[in-house]
Amino acid sequence: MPSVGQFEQLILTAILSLRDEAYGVTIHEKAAQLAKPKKISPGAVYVTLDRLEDKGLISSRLSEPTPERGGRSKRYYRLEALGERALEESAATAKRVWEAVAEIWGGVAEGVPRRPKWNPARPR
Amino acid sequence: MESGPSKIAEAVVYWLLPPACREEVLGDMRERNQNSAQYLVEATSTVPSVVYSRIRRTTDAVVTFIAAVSMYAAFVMSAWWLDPELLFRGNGFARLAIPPAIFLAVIMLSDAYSDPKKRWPLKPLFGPTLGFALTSAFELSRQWAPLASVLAWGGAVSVLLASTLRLTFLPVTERPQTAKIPAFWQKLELSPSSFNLNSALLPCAVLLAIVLYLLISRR
Repeated sequence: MPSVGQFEQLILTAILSLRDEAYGVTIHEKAAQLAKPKKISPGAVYVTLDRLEDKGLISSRLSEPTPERGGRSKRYYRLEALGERALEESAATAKRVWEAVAEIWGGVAEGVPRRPKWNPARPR
Repeated sequence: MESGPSKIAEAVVYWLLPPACREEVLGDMRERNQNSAQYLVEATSTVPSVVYSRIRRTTDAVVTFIAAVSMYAAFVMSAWWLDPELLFRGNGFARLAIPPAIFLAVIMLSDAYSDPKKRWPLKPLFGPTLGFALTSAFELSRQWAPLASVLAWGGAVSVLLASTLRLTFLPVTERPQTAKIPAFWQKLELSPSSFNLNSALLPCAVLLAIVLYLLISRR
């Protein structure tokens, strides 16, 4: 299965949550929400969408032209089965990382103040 | 009243975008448009990314590598035959790398900007021919360019080699598309085997042997 990077995960998540309304503008808006406080450019979204399509994780189709876009079509994206599996796998990895971090720092997720960090003195 | 971006700005962006993604990118930019300044800022960041992405999608690394090696060899051979002094003057071999580099850049850009909806049998030959014309125009305007005859012979052989390669391994946009399977699998099915460093070493070794032979035979 093709591996996915952090930004690719973000775009896949945006497509998943937008369902039938996933096209350039909405995907960029959703990805920007998910990436806060980092800013993302629409150009980076297009490059990533093309790469994900080449990997076979998503597919696309052109819609009918719409007057509010000056008679231009939208390109709608859809998550493929391979994309769902890749996203599932990366979400599971992220969960394991989070659990490991929470175990060391203490219940951060539940709002419990975290324990002091283990910070041994450096050997001189 | 409908508020859109200025017609001139939209026309410029239209010509800068590759035809394969014009429709959706222009539409998206129009939908996001707030004012002229925002449109221009977005265009300057979006257009290069889209062009880069299109070049990446339409360029086959293996075929490009083979074309680069063959075209460089063609120019070196032409120089060896017509103007051997050129090879042994300062940076002769490096100077001969410029025409194939321009050639390749033009071919890659012509593939990226080709319209997938328009097809004709000799379309794969368009890139090399345009590359030859632009390389000649660019090189002949430089003072320290190779001789015109070297450019002409090297260019002609390059057109021949690049065209043969492109007719054998069609550009990605010209390959038959199988419906309902992802592009990644189509590439696996239809493109030549993926880039392997070991397989690239053989042509490099042959080229190196030719260059060394030329150097030794001159002394």
